[in-house]
Amino acid sequence: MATDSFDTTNDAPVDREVIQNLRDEGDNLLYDLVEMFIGEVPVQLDALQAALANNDPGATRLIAHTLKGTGGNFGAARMLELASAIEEKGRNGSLDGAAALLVMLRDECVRVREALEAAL
Amino acid sequence: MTLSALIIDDSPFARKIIRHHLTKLGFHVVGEAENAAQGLVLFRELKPRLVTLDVMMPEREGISSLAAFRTIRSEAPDTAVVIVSAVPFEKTRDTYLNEGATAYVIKPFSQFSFEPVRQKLQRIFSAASA
Repeated sequence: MATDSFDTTNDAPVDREVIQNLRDEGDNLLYDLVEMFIGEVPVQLDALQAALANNDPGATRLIAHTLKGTGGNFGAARMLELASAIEEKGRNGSLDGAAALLVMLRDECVRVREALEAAL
Repeated sequence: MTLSALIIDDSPFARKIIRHHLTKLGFHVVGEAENAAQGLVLFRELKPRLVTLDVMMPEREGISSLAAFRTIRSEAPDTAVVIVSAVPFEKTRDTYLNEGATAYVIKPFSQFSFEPVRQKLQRIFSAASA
């Protein structure tokens, strides 16, 4: 998949309805999830970068899958899409272009984090 | 009586959200597993009345979600198994429901996601205790 196919800069980083649902649940659920995001996603991104540097498709697939799942829980469509594309490259065993996707994914994760923090 | 539940999902975010919903439904979450293989180990050890199982987890130790589901159904047919999925694939949903899954819930969750589950579980557990 070409990296320039991810032109969704106008899309909201997270789905407002999903975030509202999480907020409505109370019990600090949204707050706790945002804290988890802030704590865990940078670690996962660094692990993904290491997997790519080691040319390790298996680890790439697993870590990208985790990030995809994280995005899915917030309705973070572009984050999910980018992580899914990297996961697919890991599954296919060819990591060409994955580093460029990771750069985009890092940027998108910043957008998601900012949107989540603003939602608190 | 508080019923026990086990959550099997590779996403810690999903596990936290599911735990929240199950607790609201009155379940006591006795364990969490991040893959199907670990889930089977905890299932046999903890013997929960309810299991939530993510269908899209990477395989570990050669055990897929579907294999874990079939093992749970075989070893403990009375255990309610709620399937959790990020994608509403009709064929996948039908496979699990036809093989005895209690419900099929789609991520991301809303306040209504677990309502059909609650109603169905209420019927199942009421009938069992009657």
